[in-house]
Amino acid sequence: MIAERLEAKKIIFGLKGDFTEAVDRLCVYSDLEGLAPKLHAAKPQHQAERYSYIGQGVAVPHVRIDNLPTPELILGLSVQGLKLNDERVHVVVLLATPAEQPAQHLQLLQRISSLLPAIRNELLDQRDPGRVLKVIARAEQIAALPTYLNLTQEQIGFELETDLTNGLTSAEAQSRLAHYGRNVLQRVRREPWYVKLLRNLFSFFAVLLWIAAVLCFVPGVDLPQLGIAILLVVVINGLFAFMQEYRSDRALEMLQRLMAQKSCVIRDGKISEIDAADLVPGDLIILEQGDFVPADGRLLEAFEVEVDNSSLTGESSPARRYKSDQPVLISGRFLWIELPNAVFAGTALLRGRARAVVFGTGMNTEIGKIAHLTQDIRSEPSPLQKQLRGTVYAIAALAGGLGLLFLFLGWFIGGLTFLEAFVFFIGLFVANVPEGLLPTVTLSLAMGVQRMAKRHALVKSLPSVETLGCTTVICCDKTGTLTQNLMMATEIAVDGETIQVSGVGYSPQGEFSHTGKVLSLNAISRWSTLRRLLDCAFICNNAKLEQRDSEYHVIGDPTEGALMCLAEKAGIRGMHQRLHLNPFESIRKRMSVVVKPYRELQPTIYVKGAPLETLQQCDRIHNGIDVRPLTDLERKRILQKNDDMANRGLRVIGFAYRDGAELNGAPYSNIEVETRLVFLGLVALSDPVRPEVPAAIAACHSAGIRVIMITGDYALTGHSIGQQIGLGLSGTLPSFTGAEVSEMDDQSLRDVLTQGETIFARVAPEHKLRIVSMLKQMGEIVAVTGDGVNDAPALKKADIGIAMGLRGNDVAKEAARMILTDDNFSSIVAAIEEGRAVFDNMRRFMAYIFNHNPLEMYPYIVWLLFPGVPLAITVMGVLAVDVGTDLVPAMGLGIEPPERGIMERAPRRRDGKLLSIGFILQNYFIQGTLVTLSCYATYLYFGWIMGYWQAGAGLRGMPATPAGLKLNEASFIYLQSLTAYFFPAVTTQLANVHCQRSWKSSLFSRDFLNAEHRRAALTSIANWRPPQYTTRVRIDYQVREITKFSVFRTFSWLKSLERIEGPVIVPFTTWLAHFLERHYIIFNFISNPLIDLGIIFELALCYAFFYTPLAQIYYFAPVPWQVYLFAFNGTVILFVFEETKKYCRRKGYRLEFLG
Amino acid sequence: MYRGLQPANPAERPHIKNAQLVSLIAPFLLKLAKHVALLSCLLLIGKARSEPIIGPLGILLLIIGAALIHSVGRRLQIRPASDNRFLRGH
Repeated sequence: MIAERLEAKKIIFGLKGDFTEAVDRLCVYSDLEGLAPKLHAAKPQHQAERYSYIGQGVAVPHVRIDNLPTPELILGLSVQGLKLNDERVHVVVLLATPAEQPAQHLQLLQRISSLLPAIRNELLDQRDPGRVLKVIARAEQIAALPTYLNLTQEQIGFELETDLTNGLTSAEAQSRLAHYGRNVLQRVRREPWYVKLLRNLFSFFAVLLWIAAVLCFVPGVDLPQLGIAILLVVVINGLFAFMQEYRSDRALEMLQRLMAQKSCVIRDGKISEIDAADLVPGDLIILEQGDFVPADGRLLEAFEVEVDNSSLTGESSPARRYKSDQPVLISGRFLWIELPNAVFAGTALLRGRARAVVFGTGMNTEIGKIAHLTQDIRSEPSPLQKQLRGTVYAIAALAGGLGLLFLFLGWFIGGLTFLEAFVFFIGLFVANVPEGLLPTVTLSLAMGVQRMAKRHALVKSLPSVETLGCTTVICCDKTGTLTQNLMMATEIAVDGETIQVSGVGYSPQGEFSHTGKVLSLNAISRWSTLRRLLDCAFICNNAKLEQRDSEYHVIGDPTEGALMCLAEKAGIRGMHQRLHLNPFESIRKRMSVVVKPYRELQPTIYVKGAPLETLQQCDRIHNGIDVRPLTDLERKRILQKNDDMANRGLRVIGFAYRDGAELNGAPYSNIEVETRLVFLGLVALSDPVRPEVPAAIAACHSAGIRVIMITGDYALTGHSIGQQIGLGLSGTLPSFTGAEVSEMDDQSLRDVLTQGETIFARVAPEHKLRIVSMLKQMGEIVAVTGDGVNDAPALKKADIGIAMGLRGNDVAKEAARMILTDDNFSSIVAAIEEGRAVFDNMRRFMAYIFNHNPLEMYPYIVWLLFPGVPLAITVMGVLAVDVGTDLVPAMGLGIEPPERGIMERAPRRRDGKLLSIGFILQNYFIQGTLVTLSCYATYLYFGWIMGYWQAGAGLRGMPATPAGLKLNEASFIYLQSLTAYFFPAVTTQLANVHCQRSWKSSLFSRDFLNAEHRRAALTSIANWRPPQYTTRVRIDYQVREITKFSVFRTFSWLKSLERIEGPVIVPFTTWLAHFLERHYIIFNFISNPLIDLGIIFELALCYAFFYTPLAQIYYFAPVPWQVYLFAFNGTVILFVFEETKKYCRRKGYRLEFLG
Repeated sequence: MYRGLQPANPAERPHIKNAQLVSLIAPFLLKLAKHVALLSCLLLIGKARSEPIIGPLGILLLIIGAALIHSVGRRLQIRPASDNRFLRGH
């Protein structure tokens, strides 16, 4: 923080003389104009000294300057010392920060205040700026400073220029509001609105309408009024689409929802309620239980305050916050948002009352930084989207080129008019551009989404489904995803013995076992120390267990709930009167209660807390029967046991008590009573691993997917869980903390991420984001899980962000692309399996789509190249094929279930081609040609039975195309010939769609469907029952009587279905399931209902095209029934061809060249 | 002002299933809209080639129909993403 902002040229040695003069000399090295006058103007001389000097020979003169882009630091060193009143100053840090960011100012000031006194002498020993920087960097990174050195409240008040009693004046608040801006999260839009608008005005659909509008002004059409009307439609439609898209970006709104709407503030010495958006730095705010914190602030008063920081940290446990002017001891390194005397915007006050001074508002709050990060990250297109876009553009360019070639050939050589040739162009373009490709892919992805939803994974953005399929790394958090997100007491250490405790969740049923034998309740009761410890766990406890829907839930702290559950498992129902409670404080790390047990005369104090801190207060130990002094050897043994448990990732709690007459009438405050205690023992708690996770991790490994755990918990706990679930591909499982990640340069982090599986513990949002970014740079496809606001940037950056549905925050859900409805890791693995299946399915239906393109293209080429040969399909026919066969049957291919062994393949490469030239050509020229031949066969058959064509004659004998392609002048027989060519295009696709459903399994074999899917489908058939409508009728009755009548009448026939359910429906569905199980070929054909629906849709559309007024638009006419029948020749040929191909594949011949 | 952190129950959210269904219909509508727009262009070309099948009003109605179908498709396409949200405490 300091080293990265301090430049070598701004480190000055050998300062001498008076302090003020030395500061002026330092100002010369600043990049800012006139820093010295600003420094003097900001702090009156008499106060400058007071607030510059921070003790131990270190002074930090500082100033906040408007519109300063970044903070500036200048370091001066003086071995002799500078004279400041009666003190000698050896280290001077000149600090200038942007006035708009008071939070950053305080952070830097606090960091400098705590760091420099500790390294003062080392700094003075240096003679080179580079070495000075190294000393500071090392101190910042390596020397973990456990103490957070507060700025005093007075200092805070001075820095923020506010009165800590009366608050700001209204005038000053108004002035600051104009200067700092409103306390709201601002939208950071990377893409200007007009670009979005233009994109909507010139989408593919809009371009078609533009063309229509332009055509209206073309000579020959001459419909200017229609042209203007169409232009209006284009503009209105574009504006409407733009509005829809503009409103759909809701990430910021979700964050804004966390911000308070109103806030109690002290201004001019009076309390008033104002809009939270009008808060400014320096305002005094009052917070009550249940309030959202409206801005970042330092606590000035705090009474029993507990905050829910989960929106920032992701940790759901309530965190205590204090008013503190003393240096606070925080073990290890800490994050700014973990400061015990600060509250942050977007969090909530769960308990207590507080008064705080605001130091950060709007985008300068911690949640504002997250909002900025979240909005700043652009959602990148998925690998599939990129590929598809490229492929469609390439094919469209090819089709456009071909179309233009034929346009000019037809116009200049073929003797057609421009409009006639233009119709050609349209025909070839429409025939070749896989215009239905993107929507069909979207449909397939949507199908995948539906299947995933059944497996507890809700996908918000469709391309993410495919991205899941090529995931190579899952960055997963621990609590709730890999573990059950509850605490359970699993071990007790008393009298030198270890007792194992079993159970499930918070259910108060379980067994105590010692050396493999189950302890009865009587045995527990007779074991004096154990009994006393369980009493302590029950009595020294504020939690409650509540049973809801056969499940037990904790009201209160989860750790206390686990201890309550432990006591109840032993049948403890201690009756007592609570006399006093000394609540848990993070400084002394324990809590105690003084109680008067039932039928006892003397009060007893029960204490529980961190083992070390509790043991320090003990001088005796309960030893089975009696109480005796605690020896050093026993202390050592207890601490060893504690270390052993902690090293296994368990959370350990120590228990102690004291009773006796001396407690009578004595003050019960913690200092007096929490001493001379009798130590009872230790209880170890853990968050149990979800039972299905180890198998899911093993599935990931066999699928070539690495799992990296990123947790806010401690490294030891993460490591222990990691080992339990089988993490660590090469047997080793390295773990790193967030602080260590900060120390690593990019190459070191890359090296860490390259090795197998890793655990990152105690990480901050920026660490998670950095890890994810690095993995993406390394070419990995990264899935990231998260549940808090803090996870939002990483979720958005990831290839696929996965939010937790149950405990996840709205912001995380908004940033994520997938939501797990059960928060379970195994659901991610199931989703990956579905993602892979989606990719397979997409290849299937793309092959299906490409197969029918040649039959649309060949007739045009033949017609142009061979004068006199009639045109067998018109542009309208091409459109009819496009809308008739592309869509619904292709949808059916999208819902094929995953194939067997899909999770034993390595992940698909990011650059792995969905469509290769070979793939396209095979489908064009092998199956495509086969289908075209079938169409021509039916076409000629029609000519033969109508007497236009004979065996051996060419195509010129067929009914002629009208001159100039004027189809409204076409003869009826010509229109019939168009039908004869069109209809086989549909019937061959019926076979094609079924053939594409597998790569090598025969459609006529029992193995066609995988066993799991067949069983599930048959079960659903056997269990089908008519829908129930009774509830709906009742609800409507209560709302409107008229509705009740109509609803009841509408569904009355369904009510009759309910009556026949027992005698008719149940036997029928059971019989049908058995029938289909025995007759598997029939079942294979109907097991994909969407394909069957697609076939019916195609046939119905054919009827509409041939026998309704649509025939006049699409230029078709009915043909004799023999022609319809003959058209199925392609179906038979295609089945024979595909089944032979699959047979060869089953025999080991891949036959790739056949597509 | 603060609502409790209650888990959302997906079983109580039938509209999520509906959202999945509409996401299937949206691409169909978008494709249909493009088809109708293309059809309108071809009908206009037909008019230029003196092959009028339907009049200007019919073409205008087709185009308005295409625009409406496209709007509904777009609306459905955007809606599922927002409807999949689990609101806290609901």
